[in-house]
Amino acid sequence: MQTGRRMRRQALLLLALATSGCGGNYSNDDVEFLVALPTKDALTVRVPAQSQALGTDASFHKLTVETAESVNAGLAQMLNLVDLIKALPPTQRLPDARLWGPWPDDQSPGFEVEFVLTRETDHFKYAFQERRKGVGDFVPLIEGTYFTDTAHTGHGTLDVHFKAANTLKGVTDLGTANLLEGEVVYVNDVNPRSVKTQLSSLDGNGNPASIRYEYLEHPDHSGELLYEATADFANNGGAPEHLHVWAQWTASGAGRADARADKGAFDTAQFDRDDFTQCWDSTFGEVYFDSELQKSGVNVAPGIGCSTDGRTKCPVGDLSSCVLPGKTP
Amino acid sequence: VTLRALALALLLLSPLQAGAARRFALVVGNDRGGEGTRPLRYAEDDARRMFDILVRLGGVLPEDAQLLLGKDAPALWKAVDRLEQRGREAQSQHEPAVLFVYFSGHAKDGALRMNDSQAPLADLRQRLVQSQIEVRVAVIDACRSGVLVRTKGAHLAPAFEVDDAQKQGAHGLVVLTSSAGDEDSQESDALQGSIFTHHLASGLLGSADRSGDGRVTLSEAYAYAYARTVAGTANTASGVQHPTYDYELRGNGDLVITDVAARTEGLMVPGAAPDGTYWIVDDQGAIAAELEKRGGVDRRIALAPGAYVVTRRLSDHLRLGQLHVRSGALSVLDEPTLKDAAFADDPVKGAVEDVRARLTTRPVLGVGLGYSSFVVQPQAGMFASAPLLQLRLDLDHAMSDHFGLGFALWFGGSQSALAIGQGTLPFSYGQFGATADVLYDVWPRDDWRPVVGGRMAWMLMTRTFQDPSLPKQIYSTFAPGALLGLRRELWDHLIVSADLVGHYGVYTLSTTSRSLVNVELDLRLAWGF
Repeated sequence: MQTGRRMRRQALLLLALATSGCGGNYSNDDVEFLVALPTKDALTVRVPAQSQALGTDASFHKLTVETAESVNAGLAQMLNLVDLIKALPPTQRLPDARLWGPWPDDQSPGFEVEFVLTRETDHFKYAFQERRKGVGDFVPLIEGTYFTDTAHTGHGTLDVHFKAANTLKGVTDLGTANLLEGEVVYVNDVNPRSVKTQLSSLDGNGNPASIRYEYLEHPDHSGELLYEATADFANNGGAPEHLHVWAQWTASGAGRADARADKGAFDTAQFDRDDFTQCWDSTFGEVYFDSELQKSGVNVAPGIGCSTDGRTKCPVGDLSSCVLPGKTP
Repeated sequence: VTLRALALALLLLSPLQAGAARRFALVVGNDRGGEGTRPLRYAEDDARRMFDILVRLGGVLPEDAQLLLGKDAPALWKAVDRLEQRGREAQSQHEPAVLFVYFSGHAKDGALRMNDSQAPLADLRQRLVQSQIEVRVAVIDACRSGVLVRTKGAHLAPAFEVDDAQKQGAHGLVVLTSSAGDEDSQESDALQGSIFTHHLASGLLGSADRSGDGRVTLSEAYAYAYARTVAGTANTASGVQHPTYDYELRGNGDLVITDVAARTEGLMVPGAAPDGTYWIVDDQGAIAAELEKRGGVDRRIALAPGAYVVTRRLSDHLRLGQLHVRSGALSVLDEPTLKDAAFADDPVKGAVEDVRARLTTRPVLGVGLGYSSFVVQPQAGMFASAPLLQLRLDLDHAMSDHFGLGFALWFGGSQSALAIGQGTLPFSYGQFGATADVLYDVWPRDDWRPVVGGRMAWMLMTRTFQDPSLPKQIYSTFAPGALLGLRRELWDHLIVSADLVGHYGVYTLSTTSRSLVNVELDLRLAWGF
């Protein structure tokens, strides 16, 4: 009798083994959760550029391309983390949540990390968290939200808590890159598609500094990138300078930049700002340039710049050759 | 008609002795049955053997015997006409006539199959019924040959009893068939012939001479062949084979088919020899005769001249010896001269306890198209339906006539999409698999062969989303399944197949398991080797 039962159990075990699956890494639900995580497509800033920048490229176009690359590089670090999560099946599945980890933080011995993705009523939220192994609550280092009604489009936020990370790990010597907070807001469910990023930090002198990027991508592939920074660019320990650049381009790549430098070293008795306008054609070559030192909106020093380097501050070309109508940022 | 009534009727009848009447014999053998049949190995050999026995021992003059090997149906009808004519001529000269018709080959759908032609059994029966020859004896060794006697009441029973007290002449028709109307007739490699004809021939050589009078009557031959055929096929994969008989004899008597005593040459096993079964194997390795020796009676086997090996089985070893039958001389078996031998040396090994069916393992290699669909899946739209390409190897009859093995590899894919909210995520779906099947061939010898089977499949499903940011999904599972199939042999080697398969698997995600049911339809063209 016992033998019979044992054989039946063995038969059931064999059947269970025979029908057991393996490699079941994602369910449809999992995929729905993963869709909530930001993608490279959603966060990339795309500025038309030649495959290899030429020395003849308009200076503000070059600056815009380099700025976009810098933004993309920063976002890529976060996307790499997201890709790492996506490549792994969840450790735990709950009806409205997925949990990855906790795992030891290879970069910081004694710490452990986890990633939590939660489904709320009308959006998803997620957090990459860390703590000393087994000690206290996890501290969110990156938090995000995502609102969507479809599989492909939506809008979301991504906040990076640099200060919290440093505090958790007791990092005090931050050198010159003392980042405090990062915030990304992205929209790809309405036009124009946008990625807006803001970083706040302290400069090397302990003064607050911030940098802001706003990228818009229109359906016809024209676009805009506004970047603005406040910091002690002059590095003179005085009031920080403020730089504001608004670049626009068409689908062909031709574009213009309207820029202003003010405050700090640009706030003197003779002038309080320097306004720039540059245009470039579809080969990115400069077709118009003008620079005006102004005091309260009046050009106070026409020609002053011309004597400094003979070209860059002198009007070049015809403004009418600009493909975009002049706008005031 | 009950067996008892038959016995009573035949009790009054006497044997027609060999030589008492002019005998005609038409012996037909054809290994090939045309479309939808597989060539036989020994049908023509059976015919040669029966022809030899009838001419040598059955009182049939060579000029009155006709052997047709590998011929078409028209040749059969022509030969029947010819012998019918000759029989009538003999009877017109007051010679009683007997016509033997023996056929070994394929029969199917109520017809003897002769190459690509057919001879309907009903027509053959009609010809024999209407024949003016006084006694007609038909012996049909073919699958489902019992159809020939079905309408007249087939008898799956030992032979009719006869008595030779009456000397009246016989009139009418006797039909013996090798199997019932729904049975296959089997060949045996060990016997190098069909099982029924082997035993019938062995009986006619003298093994069936139950009365010990040196003559083998039709009833003795049938009784012997019946008993040995049933016993010899009881454990075969194709199932037991029951010879049948039918008779329409009036005022008739039993018929002496072979007169063993009339031949001086042969083998005699004296009454003093130990009882038991003796096998006599000829120099070709074929069993020429089996002799069941009982009760101190001399037994004669009318062997043709030649060299033979005699073997007798004991419980733990063999007795083995050689003998030579010379023309016109009777060899007497001196059992003590036989030597002890191991079973491994048995020249008839396998013939007794393991009569193999005629079907041997046949590799069948095929390619096909299929369509797979998941009728039960963990989440809607998770695994898509997909066309498949299949490569398959069947080993038909690998385990027995009915049981074979099948192995297949397949792959396929389709484009599908996963619904998320109000949108969809397109993905490429891939499906791969490997299976091992055990198949039961319901009618392994027919044109249309239904097949049922069980299988174990390993299935691998993948989803590759168009969105490159989403990871590729891979899932694999072992899934037992069941198969319903149909095989149709178009020509000798080309086979078209259709299979309907169901698989059951389990989808396990973390600690949650859900059922997975897949249905697959496959169509294949295959080549049978």
